[in-house]
Amino acid sequence: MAEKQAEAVAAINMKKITILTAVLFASLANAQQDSTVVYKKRVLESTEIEFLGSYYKQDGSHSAVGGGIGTEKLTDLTSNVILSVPMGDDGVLTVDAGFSAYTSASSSNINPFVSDGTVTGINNNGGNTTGASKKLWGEPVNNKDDDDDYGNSSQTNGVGPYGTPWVESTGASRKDVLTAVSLSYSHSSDDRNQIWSASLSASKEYDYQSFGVGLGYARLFNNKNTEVSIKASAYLDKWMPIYPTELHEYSLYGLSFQNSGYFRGVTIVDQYGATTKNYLPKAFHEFENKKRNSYAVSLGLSQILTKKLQFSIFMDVLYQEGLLSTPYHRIYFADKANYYVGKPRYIPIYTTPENVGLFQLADDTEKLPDTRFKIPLGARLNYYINERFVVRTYYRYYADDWGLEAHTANIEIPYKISDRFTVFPMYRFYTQQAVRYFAGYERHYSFERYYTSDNDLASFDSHQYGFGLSYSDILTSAKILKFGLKNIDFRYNRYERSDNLKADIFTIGIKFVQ
Amino acid sequence: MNKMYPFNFSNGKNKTVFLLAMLAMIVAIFSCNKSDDTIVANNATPDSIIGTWKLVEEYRNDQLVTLNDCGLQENYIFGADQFTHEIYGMSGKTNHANNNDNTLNQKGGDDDDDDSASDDSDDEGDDESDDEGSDEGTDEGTDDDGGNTGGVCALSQTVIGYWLNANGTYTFNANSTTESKTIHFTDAANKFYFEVSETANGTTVTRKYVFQRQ
Repeated sequence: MAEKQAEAVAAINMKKITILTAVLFASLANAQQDSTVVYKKRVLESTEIEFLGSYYKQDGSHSAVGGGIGTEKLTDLTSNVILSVPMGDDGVLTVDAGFSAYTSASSSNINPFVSDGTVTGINNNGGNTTGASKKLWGEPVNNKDDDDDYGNSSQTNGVGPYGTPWVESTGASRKDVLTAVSLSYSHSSDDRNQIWSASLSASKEYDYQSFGVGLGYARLFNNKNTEVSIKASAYLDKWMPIYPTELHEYSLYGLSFQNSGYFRGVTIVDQYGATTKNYLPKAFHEFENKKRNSYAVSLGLSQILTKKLQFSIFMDVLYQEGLLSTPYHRIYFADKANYYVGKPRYIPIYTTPENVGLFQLADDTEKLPDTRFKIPLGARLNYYINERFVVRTYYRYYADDWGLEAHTANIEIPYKISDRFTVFPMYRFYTQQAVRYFAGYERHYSFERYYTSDNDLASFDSHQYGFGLSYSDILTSAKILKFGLKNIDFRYNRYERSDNLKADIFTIGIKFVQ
Repeated sequence: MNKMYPFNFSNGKNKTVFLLAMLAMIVAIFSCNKSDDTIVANNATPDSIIGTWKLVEEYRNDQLVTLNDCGLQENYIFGADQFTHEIYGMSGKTNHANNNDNTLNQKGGDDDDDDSASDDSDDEGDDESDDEGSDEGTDEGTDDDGGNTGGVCALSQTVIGYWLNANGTYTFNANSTTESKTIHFTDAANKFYFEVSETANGTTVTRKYVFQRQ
């Protein structure tokens, strides 16, 4: 889920970075003017509060939960409140709190099985059953014989369970809420040539929680025309793994899982539609290490070259260890027989959206190395053509020891329509080379050590284009309570990937100052 | 106070050079070609047979046979390499005279194992039954193929196997049986038909089955 939205998050981060960069340059300019005065100018004059919201919608046909095929429908609603409070003349305390609520067809298919006709078009008779297969987590299941959370598929009236990777199941896993909060403090030296910062962050969603700390230091030289910065951060995360239903049941009941729990009485068919008891996902084992730790060191250098030209370069070194696989991403091996639950008639067209009633049982979940070393490095170049036009460019190269290599190029050309309104068209190109452990649906072999069918790790190109509209009022003439409206920023981006993933991203930011 | 900048773009020439250089850089970045092992588009034309097909007409020695609604539920689903053939029949009745084990000829099927045709049955395919034709069993056709005199229309047989197209001759492999058929596409590949000839008692009967893309 988190990786699925990486590009959207990147877009939002890009916005934040752009704002921060603008603030930084404005601060630098102000600082230069102030360097000759005797009193200290406050780093932040007054309290600021910013509301950020985004709506993200995507669809595609390479669900990682479906082992590389299936709908990737997802909607995500994000809201953040960022409060920046001056702490004396030199300090700024920033609190960022937010939530992200998503519904996802892909993750709903961790348990794809329904037996009540919820998946449309799969029950020609309009039948209904008492199956409790929709239960996944968080909902108590009244089943004395079953100690897991899946309930019982119950085929007592002969209908279901069914599923399909092309339609979202109605299980509880189709939606979740991520809540996140971060606290950061920055302190500037009297001459404003040094800035120390520290941050704490925490986030939680149903199956994942994260805790982060960070320390940073920035030094300005050359009449504040040059800045170097270093930041170190660590994230100590933990999975509460959720596995695909069939694998979870296998891990619970072992060899007899087809006679126990969820799969008791459920008909499993082979590639020819014949009933079989041969399905046995022996490759699957639950992950023992559920921790994921990430460490990063970021280096940056920004330089004002001329009145109109500024650039910055940056480099990160990141190291991750622990459970780097996503526990609910299915894998289907090419050298293993296929088994299904649902309507056998759809076996020939399993990989097409016309399959509305058949789900293939997984051979395993994805398995990825437990360490990852990443190096992104990049540059920004901003050129102020005139009072109305600015060209902002960005380039990033990324490589890691899984074999993923990526290039990102971004251009944004803000155009000032009036004193208060600015439009900014933008375009971003991204291309990446797959990790060496990636192969598509039914392309992995059981003898491999590592495997994933997550298309986020495949080779692809993407294009993201859109526009933004910004309203700024330096005088903050519009007031709400004690706060004056400083800025409204709206953006729309369209994201298109060469593997057929498409997304629309809307973001809005409203900033008030006291 | 004059600022000390490392570069001087105050004259127009330098500015032009800079802008051109920047433009060239952007173009170079955006026009980067991916290496050859990235996603490969499949430009091969898919076989015309791929899709879902439903029986719409049947001929016996070029004479149109009247089929009841139950018989008309017979269908094929063709995927990239596999197919499903579903045959429906009235419970307790044999819907077609032509009843053998060949995948494409297997019309009418064997109802013996599916007499109940109810939702309570454990038969995998029982839920495929569609009541559309269940109460329309007054077959007034003159041909005995539609001998539908009551009961419930139910899926009587499902055959799932593999197919292969060799220059228009399709080979079907299912239930350890291989069968070849010449498939004729008509109506811009929205229909296909095949013919089956049988000789009994010195009389040859040719049946033609027409399927329409759904």
